Amino acid sequence: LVDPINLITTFASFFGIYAILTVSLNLEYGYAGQPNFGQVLFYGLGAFVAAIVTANLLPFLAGKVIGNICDAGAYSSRIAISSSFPVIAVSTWLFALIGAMFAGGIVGLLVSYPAIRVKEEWYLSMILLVAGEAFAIIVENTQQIGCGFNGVDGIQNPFYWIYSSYSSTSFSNTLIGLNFPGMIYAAIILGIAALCFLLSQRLVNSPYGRLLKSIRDDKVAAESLGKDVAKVRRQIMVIGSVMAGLAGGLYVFYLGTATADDYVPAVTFSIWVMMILGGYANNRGAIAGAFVITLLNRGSVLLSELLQPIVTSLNPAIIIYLVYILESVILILLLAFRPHGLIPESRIETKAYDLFDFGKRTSAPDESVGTPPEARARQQPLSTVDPTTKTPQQTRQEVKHEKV
Amino acid sequence: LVPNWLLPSLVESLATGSILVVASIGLTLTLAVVKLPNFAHAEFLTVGAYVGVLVSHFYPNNLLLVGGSAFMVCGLLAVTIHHSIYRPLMNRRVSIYFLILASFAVAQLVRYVVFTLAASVTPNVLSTQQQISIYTIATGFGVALSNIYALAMGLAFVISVVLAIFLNFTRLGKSMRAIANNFDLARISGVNVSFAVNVMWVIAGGLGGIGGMILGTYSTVTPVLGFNALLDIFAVVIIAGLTSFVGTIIGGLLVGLSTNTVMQALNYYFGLSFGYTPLLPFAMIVVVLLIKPSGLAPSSQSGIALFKSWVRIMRERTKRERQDLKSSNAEAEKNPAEVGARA
Repeated sequence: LVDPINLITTFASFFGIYAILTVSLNLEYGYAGQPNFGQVLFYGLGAFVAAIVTANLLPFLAGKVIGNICDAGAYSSRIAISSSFPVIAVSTWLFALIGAMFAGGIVGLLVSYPAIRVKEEWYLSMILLVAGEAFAIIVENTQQIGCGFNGVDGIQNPFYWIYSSYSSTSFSNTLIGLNFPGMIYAAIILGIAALCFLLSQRLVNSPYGRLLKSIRDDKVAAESLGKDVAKVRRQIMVIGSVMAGLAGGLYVFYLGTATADDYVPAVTFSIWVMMILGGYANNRGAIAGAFVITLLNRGSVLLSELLQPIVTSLNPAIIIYLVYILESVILILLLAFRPHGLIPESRIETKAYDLFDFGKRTSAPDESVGTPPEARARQQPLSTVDPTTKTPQQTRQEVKHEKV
Repeated sequence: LVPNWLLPSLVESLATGSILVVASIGLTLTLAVVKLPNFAHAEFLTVGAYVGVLVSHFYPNNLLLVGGSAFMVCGLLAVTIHHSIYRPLMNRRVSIYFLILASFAVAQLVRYVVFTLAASVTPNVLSTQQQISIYTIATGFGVALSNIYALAMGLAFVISVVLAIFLNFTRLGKSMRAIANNFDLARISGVNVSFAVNVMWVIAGGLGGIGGMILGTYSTVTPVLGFNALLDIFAVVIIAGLTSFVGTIIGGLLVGLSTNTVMQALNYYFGLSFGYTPLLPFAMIVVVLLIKPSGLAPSSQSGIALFKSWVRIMRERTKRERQDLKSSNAEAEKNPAEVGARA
């Protein structure tokens, strides 16, 4: 009844894309405090740029006339090229992704200029929300960009040619054979998501991450310590939008078409739910949140598919509505009872963290464990030098010795 | 000389603007009193429109009953939402983004509850009409004025006047303004804050409901009726500088004008498709927030202060001129020969 391989592939693809988006939003809001309520702008921009680049580059590299990318002939020629020329398909895909990232970065840079100028904090979220909505309206009504209402169709999985290479053998009829290109693409999406996660981890577990958090918590203090707050905010906006553009590019190759309907503010809201659910200012939390919400979404689709033959009178739309209701209830409950999410904000783990005494006690286990805290305080007054306790300097030297 | 679409579209602008004023004055009140950019405000419009569908199904064309029930239901809904969701968050003094997110969540919750309810009755009412007939009550200059448009304009005027009297001359209204100015000071001075805030939510939600009800009389009622108007309402409020009531009226008329007459002119002269209509209020939002976040309309108090100082200056000037005139006349009476020589 239900194809399990297809189910897993779909889940993995959506999870990877949502994980990239959540990590990017987490960088922008969780760490740097930029309320990006227009994530869908960068996501949709990446998708449309990738689609348009592919539609033009595929026939160009194959040596055919490009013509109008919107008509049916162009659609079938795109499908034909991407299923028979491996090198062209993969290199077009790479160029499209680079284009999507580039477009996201440029627009992120442009948007970050007003971001720094607005007076009150939530005005920025308003501007970004409006920008996301305006993007959908412009794309939907302009035939010249992305074929208007119908969108750009026929953006095929870049590994579809693998299927045509074994389509005559019996392997093509097995469960794995049917979904093989999709599986490869899902694995690549997951790999890119992992790369984004690692990059983000490197970025925030560093002095730069501490700088981001200081800007989030108190801009004036950071500025008075000589940090260029405007520049850092611009940088983080660009990094976040590059990631969101990349996610859009990956999504359009997964879905096969780019239409303005897919990039509505509800997507932004969904990503915010993932981030708050997982725990903001925590990349592991972001991934966890993306996992839970993707599970919810895919589960609802599966449920409505399974229920359809049993309960014939059921309107399948109602299950989708119920998922939206559940999503908002989750967010309301989280904000009310667990604002830190599943995994609360963790410390920044730079090398200095182990070096000082408040880090992991690598040497000399604490002997005072078990004694009541008042007694411990009496034993170890902070100001006087007690020969039995180590000063931070001694601990530091010990750690150094161990490392050498 | 005047294109024949101009006058009808001006009437339409005025009517749309009036509906926007009714719908967004509640949001202005919310922003002023509890400092909350309530993105769920648009859902009051949806609920109001659906209450209109339900009530007008049993009592067709009874505008008073339909409007009253929309006001009551949405007012109660607003108070319930405040007490169950916003107040606990505000008491914890969470950041403004969490409040915005909570209001987004409330909006989505209400919207999809309406979706679910509308889809589960048979036949479903996902796209429906209110049982309120629209007829022309006056014609002139080639313009027909329908009863709904007249009602919208009249209602906007009456609501503005009543609200102005309420806020300026009643004890409750004054305490509401005190809360808007300084919450803690108002509480210390013995203002019953929770009662005033409750009344504020009833008014805000109820007016939103009435706005949605009127909007639903001449357009199709869907669960996204309010959501589609959300950014228009925010444009009105932002043009108003978020807390000014005079500004809300000006902003409503400006947005109404831009989405009807200006758009029609752009379409007529430049062939711009009507699909781009929402971009005009969007552009207003962005421009106002970037260039003059205090709003295009001066706040009423600073306007009054400006007017008073202008009156004082003019009065002093006329007084001085009169004195000069008097003294020169006196001089002229004293020695007319000298004046004549000077002349």
